[in-house]
Amino acid sequence: MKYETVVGLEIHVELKTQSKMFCACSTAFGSEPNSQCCPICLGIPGALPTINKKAVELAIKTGLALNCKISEYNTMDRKNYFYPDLPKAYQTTQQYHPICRDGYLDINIDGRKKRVGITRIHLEEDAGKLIHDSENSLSLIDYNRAGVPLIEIVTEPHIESPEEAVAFLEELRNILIYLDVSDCKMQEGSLRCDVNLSIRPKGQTSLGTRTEMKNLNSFRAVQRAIKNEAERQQNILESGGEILQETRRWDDLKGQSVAMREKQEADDYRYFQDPDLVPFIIDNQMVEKIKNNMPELPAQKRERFVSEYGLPEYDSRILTSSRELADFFEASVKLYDEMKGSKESKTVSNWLMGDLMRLTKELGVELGDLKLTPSLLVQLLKLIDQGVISSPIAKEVFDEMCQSGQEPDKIVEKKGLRQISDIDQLKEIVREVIQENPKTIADYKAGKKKAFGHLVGQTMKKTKGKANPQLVNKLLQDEINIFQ
Amino acid sequence: MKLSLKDIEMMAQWSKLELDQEEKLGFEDKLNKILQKIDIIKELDTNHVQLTEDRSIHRYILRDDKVGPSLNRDLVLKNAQDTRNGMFSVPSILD
Amino acid sequence: MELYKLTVHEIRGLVNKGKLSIEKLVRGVIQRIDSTESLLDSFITLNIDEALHQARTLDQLISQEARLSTLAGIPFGVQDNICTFGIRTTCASKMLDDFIPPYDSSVIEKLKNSHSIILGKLNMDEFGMGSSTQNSAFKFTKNPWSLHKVSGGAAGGGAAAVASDQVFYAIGSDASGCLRQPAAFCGVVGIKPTYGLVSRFGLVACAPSLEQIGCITKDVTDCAYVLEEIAFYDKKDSTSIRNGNSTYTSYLMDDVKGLKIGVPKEIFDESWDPDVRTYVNNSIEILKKLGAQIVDITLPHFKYASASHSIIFCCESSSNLARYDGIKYGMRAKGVDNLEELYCKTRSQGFGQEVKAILMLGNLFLSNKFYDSHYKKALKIRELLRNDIRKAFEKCHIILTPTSPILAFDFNHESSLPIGMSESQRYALLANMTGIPAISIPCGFSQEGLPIGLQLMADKFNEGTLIKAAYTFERNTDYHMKKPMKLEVTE
Ligand SMILES: [Zn+2]
Repeated sequence: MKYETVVGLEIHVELKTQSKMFCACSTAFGSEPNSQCCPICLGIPGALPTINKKAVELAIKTGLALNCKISEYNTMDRKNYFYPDLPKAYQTTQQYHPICRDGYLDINIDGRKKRVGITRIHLEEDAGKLIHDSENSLSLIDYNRAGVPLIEIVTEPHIESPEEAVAFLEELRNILIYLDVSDCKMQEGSLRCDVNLSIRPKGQTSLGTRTEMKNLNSFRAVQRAIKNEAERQQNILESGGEILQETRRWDDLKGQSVAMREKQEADDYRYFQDPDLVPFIIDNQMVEKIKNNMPELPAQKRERFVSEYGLPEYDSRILTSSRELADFFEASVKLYDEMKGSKESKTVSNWLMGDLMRLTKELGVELGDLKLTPSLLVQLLKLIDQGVISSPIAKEVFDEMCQSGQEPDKIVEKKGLRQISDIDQLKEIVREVIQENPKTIADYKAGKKKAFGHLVGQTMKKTKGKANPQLVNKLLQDEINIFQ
Repeated sequence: MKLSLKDIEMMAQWSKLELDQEEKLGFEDKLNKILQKIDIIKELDTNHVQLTEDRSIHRYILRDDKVGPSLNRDLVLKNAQDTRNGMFSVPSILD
Repeated sequence: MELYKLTVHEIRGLVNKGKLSIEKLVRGVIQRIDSTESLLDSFITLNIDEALHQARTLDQLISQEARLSTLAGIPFGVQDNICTFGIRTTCASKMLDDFIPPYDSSVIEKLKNSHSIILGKLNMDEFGMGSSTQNSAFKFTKNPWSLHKVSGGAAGGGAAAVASDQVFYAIGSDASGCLRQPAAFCGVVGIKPTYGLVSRFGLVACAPSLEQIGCITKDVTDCAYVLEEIAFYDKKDSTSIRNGNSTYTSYLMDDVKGLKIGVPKEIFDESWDPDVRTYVNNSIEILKKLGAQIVDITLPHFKYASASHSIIFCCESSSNLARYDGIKYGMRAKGVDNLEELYCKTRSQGFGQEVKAILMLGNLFLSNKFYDSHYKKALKIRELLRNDIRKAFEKCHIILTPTSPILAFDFNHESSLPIGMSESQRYALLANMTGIPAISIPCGFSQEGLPIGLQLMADKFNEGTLIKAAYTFERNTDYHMKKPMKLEVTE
């Protein structure tokens, strides 16, 4: 029997606010344990919460970007359960009136558009951090993260493959970074993803029993876990077994998941509206204000890059894959155009897509880690345009410039990389080359056009790449003809 | 609706209470009596009632995202019975 | 002069004329506490040294002719579920036996800024769950009018302390009439203001949607003084409401002419003590004579109020008290092997039986199976009650009932039903369910000499009307002048 996979995602995103969801404690990462706590986030008797406006605004922003309806009437609700990282023994979340609902996100799978429904986005608070002390068989608790604002984004079960899941997550992360809603660092836990998965025979409309997969620390882990879980469920069904509704924990090292616990009657979170927080109203005015200040989203930017800069779709997709890169591109194009008085977008694009990508990959870093600025890049392009350096030399200068942050003309001077355009100097070198390569000359004269390239190469080699290529071409032609 | 001993056990589990047999029986009796009294609400039909808050009176103003002082760490830990390295301590969650 | 017998407004006059030193005043009440506390057990923790220190500082300020607020130098008691920085706050529970709050509740912060002096923390039912202080983990507070009777609860400590002149006023909380019923049982004035009028930040509530901080005073004038001080908008409490009108002392007027007083027909039933019936009827006559107009009103859903109040109370409590897990503060069971044991043993040892019953019920009502049939239904009934009240206030300015249909009862008398199911709070909890203000004032004494309380309720934020009606009643009666005899004999 043929099976199909049905996946829904639950994505937790830590919001980029200064203070916590319900108190004024700092959300800064990496401080001394329990140094960012107060009666409110510690759940000390009598302390009452108040709602962070910025967190509400960021949630609305996300909702608008994901084409959601924004709720006018909002409540905060309590999810009751005991765990040491949860100071009040309930998590304040939005069960009954989530801030956003009924949205979607379009993703691109091998050139095909796919729409994934967003069921809801709700605001909630993070829990503290547990540190295991195995020597003393203890768990230690740091409540600095307790109360940090989160949104949970819940998708419809519209995802059908590991690739779709990753494409969705990449697009979502890109949007969240564009919106400045979150850092989306999976390593620091500011983006976390749970996978709900079931399988069903192809053609069946009802859903199968689903499992929930936790502890997915990278997009790669999501991809592997989906593949693995679909296979596991298929094996069970094919051997006549039954899928249990359970929570499973992904072990990325072993490449498999283990059951954490089965769903039980005791798993009743006894949700109810938090009586300490009155319902809050999001009026049209607030939504409109946020709407008017929305940054351009990746999809819009992709279209604009094609129409405004005349870039191929492929270039546009890569350049908009991060907000940083897209901004860098636009700033560079602007500077370059101002200098030249004409549109030279493709030249800039080529440098970013070619040499920049190569360098970041080689060094294993990101654009932000390099010292490259739009101004430096344009100065480099200027040197090429003016014939001060040749293209191959420019690559060398580029690499150095990205790492040292030095201006390109300084690098050229320091290293003596200025292009040789002096005819007499070059003529001498060309003659040397011709004398040293009689066989190649003979080949060329016999009609092997390729041999000419070899001669150019030899000339460039002798000048350490600094010779003006056009000039070398012309001189070689001239000299060979003279010899004839 | 009458609560059974099993219900009492479930309720105790939700409340994180440890009850001996005698206590369970005591609560079974006592809580059933209370439930009986509460059953009076069953005679009232509330299907038509809408749960809407009075939105006009209570317009809650959200808090500005500004960092304020946290508690001194000594005060954070002062009321705890067991702490280690500036953290609260519990028996291992892995056991 | 027996300084402890004074009221807040009398002290104010003397201090302003320079006729009274604060230190003398404080020493006076400390002496009074010394001679009565062993009989009454109203306090859990005393704050004597600090109080004397503050008194001396204040006397200096006064000699420098500093302008001070109305309550400056007045010693008061705080119910032990309101957080006081550095002063043990137990909620009368073993669970918080050694809990010392690292912060002040907003209401205490306000009173400290007004230089009022905390004398100590007052006894109550554990976490406010009960109607007699018999659920306190530490002691029972006796009724100053008869030491065999309960002082009422949860705020029994506060009512007994004010009635016996141990403090000049007390700050407490009211989630089900549990501040007004003790005030009635002990023959003093108790007010539960409109929900949102007084900040709850720092109140260790069990049922936040029902509970409100109020005060217990010796008479209505003091009530207006204290209320004026504690009513303010607090951005730390999201349920706090901005309300411009808070000059309650300006309503201290002897005038009820034309005031429409509604008496709900549903309240009259067999449960009333005959003396309560006599004196409540008498009170209605008095108000009529003073020019008020008595109108019949109806509260059709009144009979469901107790049950739905109980459900909401239990549900909110079950969640609010879940945080006591032995980790961050409070009691922690010894000799536990794992996390589950830490939770279960700590909570089983730390909570009393009444609290356990309420937590279990609350968790039941919130569970999937019961949510709609109980919790949600209770919320709907609350909505219906609000509607009843709204309609009633179209016909009248004030709703009148007895505070409690029964008198202070013997210890171990009342069945241990959880709060709200108690006979004595059936009328009082209406104000908690609907968020309106309500006051209890003395309106008579039973044949055996126990105080009877009259409850007046007004529409939201109409505390002024309440004060005016209560003040008029008080000016024309002398029930508030009577003092418990026994205590004077023991000195
Ligand atoms: Zn905090």
